[in-house]
Amino acid sequence: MTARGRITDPLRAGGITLTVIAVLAVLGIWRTPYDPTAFAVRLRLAAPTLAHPFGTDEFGRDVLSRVLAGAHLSLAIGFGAMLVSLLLGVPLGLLAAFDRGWLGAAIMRAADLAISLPPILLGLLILAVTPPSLGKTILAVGLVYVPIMVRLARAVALGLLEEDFVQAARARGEGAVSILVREILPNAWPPIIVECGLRVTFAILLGASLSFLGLGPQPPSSEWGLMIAESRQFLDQAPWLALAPGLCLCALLVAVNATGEGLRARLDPSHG
Amino acid sequence: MKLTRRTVLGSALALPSLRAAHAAAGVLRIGVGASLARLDPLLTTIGDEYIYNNLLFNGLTRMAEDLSVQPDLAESWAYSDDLRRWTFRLHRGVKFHDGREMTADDVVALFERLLDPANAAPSRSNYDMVGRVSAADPYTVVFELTSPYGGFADILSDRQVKIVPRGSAAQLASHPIGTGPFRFVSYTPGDRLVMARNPDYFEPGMPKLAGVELRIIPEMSVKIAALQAGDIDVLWDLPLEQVKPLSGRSGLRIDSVPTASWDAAVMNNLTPPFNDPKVRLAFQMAVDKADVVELTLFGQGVPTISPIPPTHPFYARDLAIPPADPAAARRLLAEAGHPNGLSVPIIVPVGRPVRERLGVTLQQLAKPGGFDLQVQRVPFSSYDAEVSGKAPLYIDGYFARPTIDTSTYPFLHSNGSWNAKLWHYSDARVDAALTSARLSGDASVQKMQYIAMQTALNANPAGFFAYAVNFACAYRTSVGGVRTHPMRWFDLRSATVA
Repeated sequence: MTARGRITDPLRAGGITLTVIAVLAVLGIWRTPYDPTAFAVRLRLAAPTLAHPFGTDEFGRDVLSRVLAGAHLSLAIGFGAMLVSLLLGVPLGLLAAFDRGWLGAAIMRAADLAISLPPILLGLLILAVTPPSLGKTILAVGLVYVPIMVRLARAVALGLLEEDFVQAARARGEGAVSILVREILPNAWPPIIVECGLRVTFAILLGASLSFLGLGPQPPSSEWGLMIAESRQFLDQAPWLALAPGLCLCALLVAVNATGEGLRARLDPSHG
Repeated sequence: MKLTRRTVLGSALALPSLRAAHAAAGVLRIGVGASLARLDPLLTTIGDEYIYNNLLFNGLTRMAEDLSVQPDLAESWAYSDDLRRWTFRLHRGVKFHDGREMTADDVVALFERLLDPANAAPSRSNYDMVGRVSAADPYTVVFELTSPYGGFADILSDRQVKIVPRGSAAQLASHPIGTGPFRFVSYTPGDRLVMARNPDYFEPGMPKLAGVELRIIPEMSVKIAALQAGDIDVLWDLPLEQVKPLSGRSGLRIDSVPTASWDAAVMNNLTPPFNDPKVRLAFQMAVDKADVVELTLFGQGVPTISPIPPTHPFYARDLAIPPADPAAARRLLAEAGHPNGLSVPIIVPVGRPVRERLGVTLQQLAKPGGFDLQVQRVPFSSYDAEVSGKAPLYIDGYFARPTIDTSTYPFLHSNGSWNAKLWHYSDARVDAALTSARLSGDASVQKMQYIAMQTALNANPAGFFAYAVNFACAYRTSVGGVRTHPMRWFDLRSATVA
């Protein structure tokens, strides 16, 4: 048995952290130590204590509660955007690999064009024209990563199209859809799943950046990027305001990345 | 310290040379937030530019820190009994920075430029009562007004009406020339604007500084670090949440002064739900203004009824601002046909932290009174096109104006120029009081009318006037002779830096 099938340390550590964060995030939708939007005038900008382990913000709101209440938003943006790019990108990529005519060329040139724009700019373009909301942030971030998914799916499929079992399927007289769905797709999964893991990291970060710029969930929501944006004025007085969501974001990204890497070690035949 | 010949000699040598170095420096460095977009004072629009306007130029009159109006380039003025004809006598022998003498023709040229719609001067509407400006002789300027206006000398102290050499408009953008205590040296956008002492300044013995530099530092935490490190001497427009934490620091003087600048939750009086006066009144009852001041301004301000601040003699002292009464607010909402409360978006400007905070504060405080507000952050730059005068509910605010008339009439009279870009408010009693106050030169009549205006406004609110906000600056203790100006600019004629 090679590295395939082995559960590596990064995978275990990442997976456990990710599970803990996910559980806390889901719990945080209903239950937090304090009401994440309740003001407490006397406790404004209070430093971390046992009662408020992450301190309080400029309205006296408990930062730990806010971080917990906002966690599901970051996860939703990350995984939601990944699903959007997966569902749009993979079919388009397979189609582009299979059709060598104008349709395939059109898909690839469109993808090239979209890739040439910096992600944050593309996200801004999509979001700036309409009032912001969580759903739109997910859609925008997802759309930004569709072209990358298209390219990957096409590259994998192109390789597979030359394989003997695909030639055999052609020889059996199977149709295009049947070959794509039954022969190519099952074999193209491993690299796509690995890419998805990486995309989640980028999507969380891009989502937080867009929300930092005001184009994500709106106050009094406690999306982490928004929390960091709001804490900026208090950086010298109350650094814990930026530190708490920043560290959580960092932990989440490392966990997702480690999980993605671990999955790659397990699933990618060319690796290890 | 042990006294030796070496230390005695050393300190004797070192002290005078140190003092000389400081005196030679004598340059006051002010940290501001934004690059100046325009150097032509007539076209300026932001606070950072107004500081520069008041250093390089003079107006006909000047507003002191106590808001009294004093002579500037005009040494005296007189007006006709009907308040329509105003005559200003100019100082003789005042020289522009290029050595030419300033005369009445320069003043006339400035006002012609201001009133010409083609020049799109932002302050033009403040002077639309001016009919004709003429030079009776080289040192006398006569303004003929189309309607009586008692506060005309006051509005000539405002930010943009600074006297420049006639025919110089084209060169103002690159090499501005004025009569002010400091002359232009250089400007690097994003870095600094350098000014040097004007040796020929017309007021004897002024200015005391060798020069002034406006240092452009957008990030507040960087600016505060620069102040503490001594890289700048003055921090202009200190955020209100910093007033208390910085007040205890040695070597710094923090000054927070009341002003007439205000913020409000603007309600659109033309469209539902705020076209119903009961809904506007319910909002006023639902929210405790004292709490708003504490939460939004960290206590650095006062609740108010209208743009007239409680520090002003015309403020309606007998009108109490009551604590919140959510139950009464809900009852009133039910009467207005909203038994289950109201759900409305409230738009806040991104990049205006105090106003963003006001939005979040109101979102939370208005909840018990039956208002379910959804905060929407919108870039301030798109306010003009999408929000102002259109959205049902949004946060906005205005800097202090030089007179009570210019602070109230444009905003609350049904024909007011700003009213149409805000709430579209119309109340016959408010209109009548504002008009009567404007037509009278008698302070006691004005006071009575303005109190009547506030009473009517309180009973039928245009929106939610949240507070009159303080203005704060931080100074190193080496800075002397400067007072924080409620109009957010500086008078540095007597300033010193040790």
